[in-house]
Order: sequence, then C-alpha cells, then structure tokens
Amino acid sequence: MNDWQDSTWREYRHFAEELESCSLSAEGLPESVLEQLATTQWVHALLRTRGEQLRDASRRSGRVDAVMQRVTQPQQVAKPHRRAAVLRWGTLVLAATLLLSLLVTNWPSSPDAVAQVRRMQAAMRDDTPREYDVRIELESLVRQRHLEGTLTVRGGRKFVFECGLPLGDELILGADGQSAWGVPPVGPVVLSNDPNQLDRWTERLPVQVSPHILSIDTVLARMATDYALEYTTSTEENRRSVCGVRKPEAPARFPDEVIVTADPDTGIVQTLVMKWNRDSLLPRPKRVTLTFRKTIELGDDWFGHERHHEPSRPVVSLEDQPASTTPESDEADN
Amino acid sequence: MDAKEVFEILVREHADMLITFIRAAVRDDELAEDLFQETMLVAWRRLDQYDRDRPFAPWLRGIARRLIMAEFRQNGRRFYTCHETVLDRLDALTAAVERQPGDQWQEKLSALEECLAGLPEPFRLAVELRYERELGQAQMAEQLHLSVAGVKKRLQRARERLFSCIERKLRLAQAPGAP
Repeated sequence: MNDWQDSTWREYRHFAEELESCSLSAEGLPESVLEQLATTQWVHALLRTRGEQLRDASRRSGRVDAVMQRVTQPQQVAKPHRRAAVLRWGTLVLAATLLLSLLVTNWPSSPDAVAQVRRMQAAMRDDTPREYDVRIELESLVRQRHLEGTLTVRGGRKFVFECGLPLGDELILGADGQSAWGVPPVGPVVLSNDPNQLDRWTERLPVQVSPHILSIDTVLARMATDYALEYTTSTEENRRSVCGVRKPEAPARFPDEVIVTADPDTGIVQTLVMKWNRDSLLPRPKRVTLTFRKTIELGDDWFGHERHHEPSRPVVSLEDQPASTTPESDEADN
Repeated sequence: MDAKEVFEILVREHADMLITFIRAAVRDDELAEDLFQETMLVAWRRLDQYDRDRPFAPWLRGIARRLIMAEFRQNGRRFYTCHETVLDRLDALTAAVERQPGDQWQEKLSALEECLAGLPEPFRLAVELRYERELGQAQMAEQLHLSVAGVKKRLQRARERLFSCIERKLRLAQAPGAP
C-alpha cells in the first residue's frame, strides 16, 4: 500500500473509517482501493459474526431453523417469494371481503367522526410546540424489530423527527413550514419544497419512514378525505377514538388503518396509531405509534435544518438532483 | 438420509460462512438476514443443479453474489461499497478460510482468535466494545475518552492490523510443511 498515491491512500482511509456510517459509491474508485475496502468490510463481518456468537449463540441456530422451516413447509419451498404471493392474494381476498361488508353496512364515514378529525386538525394547528414519542415497528417475512424516536410538532406544517438507527447513527427529518429536509448520518443534508421528493429520498434509507406519516396535520387531512371513519368506544379516560380504514382509491403509501385518540376538551391528539397490512421480504413499517408526551418551549429555529447538523455539512436541494421517478401530485398533503 | 436431511447438514455447516460473506457486503443487518434466507431457499430449489463433485461453499456464494448484486441495483444505500471487484475479493478471502483445517467455520478461523489476542490493548479494547458489547460510536467515544472521529480511526487501525495478521497466518498455514 505504501506506493499508492497520497490522494488514493487518503481516499481509502476516509472510506474505511466511515465504513459503518455510510454507503460508498464504487464508481471511479481504483481497483486497489476497492480491494483494500473489501478487506476492511471482510474483517468487519468476521468480527460481527464472532461477536454475535459470543453474545447470542442461539441466533445462529435460529437462522438455520428458519431456513429448514421454510424448506419443510411445501407452500414456502417452491419459490422464495411464494409466501409473499400467497399472503398478497390472501390480503386481496380479505380486503375484498372487508370492502364488500363495508359497502353493505355503512361505507360512508360517520359525519361525527369526520367532524371530530377536523376538530383535531384545527386544535393541532395552534402555535404550541408538542413532543411525541414515536415507536416504529418494522417487519419482514423473517424478522421483527422496532425503532424509537421523538417527534416535535408546531402548528400544522412544522415538525422535527429524530430517530436512532440500527448501527447507532441518527436520522433526522423535518419541515420548517416552507421546505422539508433530511439529515442522514453521513452525506449531504437534503431539502426540498416538495414533500414527495423527500419521501422518495427516504425510500433509499435503511429505515424507510415517510415524512407524510410524520406530519400529524397531513395524516388528519388524509383521514378526513381518504378514509372511512367511525367512532370506536374506548374505556381509557372516557376518550373516544376515531378509526379510519383507507378507501380503495386512496394512495397505497398511506396506512391501511389509522386510529386517533384526542383529548376530549382540547382536541389535541394523544395517540395516533398507523397500521399497514402489507408483507415484505425486507423490513418495512408495519405499525407506527405516536404518543403525546408534553408541550415544550422551543424557538422557531428548531424546525430549520441548520439546528440539527454541523455548519460545515453540505446542503443540497433535491430539486437540483435528477429525479429517479416521475413526481406525483399530492395537493392534499399541505 | 433424504434430501432435506442432507441439505440441513449443509446449511448448518455453511451458515456462519454465508452470513459473514453477506454481511461483508451489506450494511443493513435485516437485509443480510433476508439475503441469507433467500440464498438458502434458492439453493434448496436448485439442489438438483448442484454438481456434487465440487465444493458446496463456492456454489452457495455464487447464488448469494447474484442476489446481492440484484438487491444492490435496487437499493444501493443499504450496502457498503458494492462492486464485482469487491465481491471477487470477498470470495477469495472467504475461500482462503474455507481451505483451513477444521469442520466448523470458527475452527477454520482460529487465526482470528490468535490475532485478536495479539492486538495491542487499545485496539483490542476498541474491538471488544464495538463487536462484543455492540456499543455505538458515541458510547465508545465516552468510554475511551476519544472523539467519535478518533473511535473510527482506532477501529479502522484495529481492522487493518487484524487483517495483516490473519493474512500472514493463512499464508503460513498454506505453506508447504506447515503444521
């Protein structure tokens, strides 16, 4: 390695030290750098496998048992995606049955429930900053896990969401009323005037958390228009919840079901539970729960991205980046 | 023994090798687990195509490589540097361990234990905190009285020292007349 050019050496050292924090584009890297990075990744993996065996030897046998269980069950053997297909069809049949039963009974929303959601939306648009605990339950066909974070909201259009990632890094997403922005563990800070662009950017992160579901105002607005709503009885502190089931024609990226409970006097949202009925080979949010913690004192600069990263971090506008997918219109989000 | 019983033996024998190989390419642990499962299921489905005169491990890694590259094209951010050159190197390194004596992956990897024992204390401690106790970089910085950047540097130097040591031992083990 000593005969490398200085710049190549520095490049390798930088990438190798950042191994756990970022994904690296291999494009343009010399073969010698790629080979050295491979050795670093390999030693990292050896140590992780060894560490896992020291901490939790049962995980290894669980991994093998999971394979053999799927091999033994005929419906899961033919193709790895077969189980997903079976579940998809099952979900489809279930959805069709649910749709039919709702049409037969009372598909339109209860006017009282819609009014209650509108009342919550109005209450949440006041200027008081509020803090919510967020729990994101991720599920793939193989495993389940959860992440925890904190959501701060102010009015209908400002929020900051801070979430710990599996490798100990932190992801921060927010909106300052004009722009939506994201601070990844490593790499440039991104911002956009179009929440859909930030939404697509989050799809490339290890944890896909759409900014649409972090804006309580957006979720409530969607509930009022795209969900069949009804009151559900809750014995908890005499609070009544509104339960919404997404209408078939509504965008599929929104939750299949939303349950929201508000303070009966103020209309402030106390809990918001979002559920998805999808199945995936890769971990995706299955259930997201927001729980009101407290009102807080915060300066307005809290909702700008500048408060959440070093001044030296580069900031890029997603509008300047080539779009990987066709932008969708989503006028109801604001 | 029926095919399932034979396959189970092969899965148990190669599980550590395969998860290590996949983890070396994939930074998301959940994705690594999914790719492990998918690789094994594809292997089971195609077991009749496997040439029994050849070793099983490279065939299994070949399936994993195709799945890794397919996933990388879909979702590059969940990987470390991913490139055919990187995968070739990972494959060669893994094959070098495979050639070592021993039935289990950990037996074949006795060089790792020896090299860890020989690491200078500051590096050994960094490895222990990160990989055995699974501390994050910020927690490590607090315990080691270093900056986060200092933690990253120390971990990387530990990995480099370990690699040099392992490589030396693997070469020694392959040399003629080696015990």
